[in-house]
Amino acid sequence: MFKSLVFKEWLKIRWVFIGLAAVNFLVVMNIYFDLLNTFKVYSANVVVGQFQAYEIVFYSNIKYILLLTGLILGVFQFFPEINQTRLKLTFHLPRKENKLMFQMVSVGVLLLISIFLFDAVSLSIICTKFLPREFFESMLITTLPWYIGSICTYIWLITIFIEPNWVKKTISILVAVGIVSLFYAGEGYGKYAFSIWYFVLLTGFCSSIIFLSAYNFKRGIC
Amino acid sequence: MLKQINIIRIILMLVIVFAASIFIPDFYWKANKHEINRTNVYYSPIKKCFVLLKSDVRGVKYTDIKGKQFNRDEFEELVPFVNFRQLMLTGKLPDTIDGQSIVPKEINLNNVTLRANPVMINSRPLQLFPLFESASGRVRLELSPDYFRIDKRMEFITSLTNEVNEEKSQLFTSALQKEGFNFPSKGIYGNPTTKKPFDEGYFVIDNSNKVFHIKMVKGQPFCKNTGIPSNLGIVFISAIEFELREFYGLIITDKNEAYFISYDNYKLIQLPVEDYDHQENTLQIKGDLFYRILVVNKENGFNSVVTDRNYKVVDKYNESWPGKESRTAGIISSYIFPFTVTIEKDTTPFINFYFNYSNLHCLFLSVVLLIITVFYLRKKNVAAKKIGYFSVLVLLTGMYGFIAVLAIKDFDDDPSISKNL
Repeated sequence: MFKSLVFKEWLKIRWVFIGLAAVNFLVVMNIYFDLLNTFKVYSANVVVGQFQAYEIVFYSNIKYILLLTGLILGVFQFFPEINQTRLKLTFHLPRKENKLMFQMVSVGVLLLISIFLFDAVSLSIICTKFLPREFFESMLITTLPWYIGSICTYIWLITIFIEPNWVKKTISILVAVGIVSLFYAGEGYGKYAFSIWYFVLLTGFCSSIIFLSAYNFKRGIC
Repeated sequence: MLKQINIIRIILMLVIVFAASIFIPDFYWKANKHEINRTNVYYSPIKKCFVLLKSDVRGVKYTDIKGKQFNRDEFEELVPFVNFRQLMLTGKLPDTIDGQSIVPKEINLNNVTLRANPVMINSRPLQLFPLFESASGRVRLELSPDYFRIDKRMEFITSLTNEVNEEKSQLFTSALQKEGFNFPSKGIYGNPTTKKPFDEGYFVIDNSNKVFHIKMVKGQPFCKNTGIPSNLGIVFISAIEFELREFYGLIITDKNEAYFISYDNYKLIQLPVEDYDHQENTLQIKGDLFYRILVVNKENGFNSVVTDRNYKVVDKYNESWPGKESRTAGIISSYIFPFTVTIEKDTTPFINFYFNYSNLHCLFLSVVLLIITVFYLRKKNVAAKKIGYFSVLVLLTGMYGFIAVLAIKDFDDDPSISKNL
């Protein structure tokens, strides 16, 4: 049944996934060309010096694209489920709703991770091509909270979508906006270097709340 | 299943408590931001006393420590070394002070300012630095074509090719090894800008806590063990080149001591700073022809010590004002927030969850909210055991826990009971 569920989810979101992957690719290419042109306009030692001294995050264009990637994938994966009450049918399958939710969310998270891996590898290649390894290392730690923040956005969006109670939905929106904003604070390199694991833990806690919404949803439709 | 849902419900409540403890106090302090008053401390060589320049949103006040006010012109005459260009323009620069003739060039040479604040100390910049040519024979310093790192060896990376310059790397690495440098470095401190009068390179702490002075002179390495004690506990070095060439920079230690590294064979000069916490306060050092003023700026005041040029204490002055905790908004916050969480802090550039605990005042509100919670939950026929859990949460987390209890709303969790919402 898991294979069928994965196939169903893939059929539903494949074009969105391809679109989001294309947008991410274009943004990464944009970062590449911007950096290439910077090195054409200014001498390399000036660029390295300015980047180092002012902590210029030359890949910052990807920051909110990552946020939007999680948000859009969540909308396209779960809006039809709620709007066309498909989730109601899914929950009638001979499986526990927790397991079904876990499998559906896993598909989305895995697709997000595949886009993020592409971004991370591309940015790493760009970084190591032009700049010393210190920039590559700092890029990884700088962008990591953005990737995790995108997954957290995706998870909160699903929680909000499937929560049947409007009061709880509103409270979830307030909490979600607050929690997600924590991942995108700070300017400069590696600001989350000493706290990234707390944010991973926070995302883990937030993920479990999906099951409460699913439980409420099922109870609401019984 | 029921047990899992209850656990998730508790997690949701904790997430709500956590989010509330960040955003409600943040919003509260945004709505209750107090005005910032700034005080610049000077020591007048004319009156031989401290004079203060106090500024806020309404304007600037010039006073001495007894409260006597001056106008701008009078103030500028009291601190001639700071305002010597203005006094030269108006013809009011004294020819002599205390019998010493006053030459503008000398004033300019002796005016120095250094600062060490917690953000500078806690920052972790990319460990990649330009090494300037210190004796190029040119008026201006020029940016080097490569940057160095000190890991297992000293490596120069040419920016244009992004490749290691092996020859230069080996030259500097062997020079460091000859001097007894223990790789890798624990800290590299310098002033990596071309906008300085000359270059003194970097002070580098090796793996055995010895401090080395590294620069490049006519393309050759200058590496010297400074002999600065390795047990000093250095947390920061502010290395700045001044034409005065009296000291290379300022050392801050983990014991909250401050030292100048003198040009006299790196001899340390301990500065008489008082009541200084390098993780909380900003240390500002201003020097002129006659004095050194050491100011420790705190959130709610400052300590200042003035010394002569031999670092003998001449005078001291402290001032304090109510901090944000002592103001009305701060007192109210201590009653309503049992704790607050911030992700940013003035003393560090890093994002983290910084917890600030309130005093016991918050128990008043927590107890009131606890009583309301118990009544509310009893009215909803919640089991006594659960009321106990929620009560503990409200007692410990005050209004945040109360909000979480209200947000959870339904507490009956028997999955067999269908409920239309």
